[in-house]
Amino acid sequence: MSYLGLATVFVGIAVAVSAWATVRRGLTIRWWATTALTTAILLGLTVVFDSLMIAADLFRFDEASLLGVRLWRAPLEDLAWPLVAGLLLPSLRALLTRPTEAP
Amino acid sequence: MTGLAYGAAILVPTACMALLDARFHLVLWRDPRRSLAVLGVGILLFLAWDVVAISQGFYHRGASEAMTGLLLAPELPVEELLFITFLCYVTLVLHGLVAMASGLGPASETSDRPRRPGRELQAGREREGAR
Repeated sequence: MSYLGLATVFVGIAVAVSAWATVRRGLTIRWWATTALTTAILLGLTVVFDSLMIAADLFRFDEASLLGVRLWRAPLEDLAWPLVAGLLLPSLRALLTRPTEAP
Repeated sequence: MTGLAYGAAILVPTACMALLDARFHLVLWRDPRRSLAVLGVGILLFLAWDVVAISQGFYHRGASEAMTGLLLAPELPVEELLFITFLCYVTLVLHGLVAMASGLGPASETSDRPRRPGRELQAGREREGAR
């Protein structure tokens, strides 16, 4: 398994949970627009701060496990982290909010 | 001293986000029980991601002197737990801020139904209870 393969598993979980939340909780276009913008901001922040963290030698990658595509210093696969966070966490919160409690 | 730099670089912005959260009732100051549950699931998931990635040799910790050197597991610095917590919290705070800026309102999740009467009162009681 490569780092991309592992990332794909977690992205798959996040996509499945957000789809389930959309069906179960009737998430609106506005909720999805909010989630998309939040995720886009997180992706941008990740490119900057992941690169700075790598430059600071906080962690090192095994080059052989990577695709080799980098945005500044951040490996493309690392963008799966903000993608999963941005999709999964708001979806989980929506799932935990009972429809009767929605304002 | 430098060993605390990375930890501080995470904790200070986290505290700033908590101030935003408290001011605008976005996450923990809006619904502490559910927010903690969501944060807990997120933290466990990202820790699992780290553990598998490290066990497969995809990455390992660097030699930066900005870390304390305390490890949760081999190649897993204690700072990584702080970072994961920060990532989960910033996601929910940002989602709340974006919703607020777009007029959706941080409390509005699933639809545009009118606010339930007493919601503000209930939120106020929760805040009192949290103190």
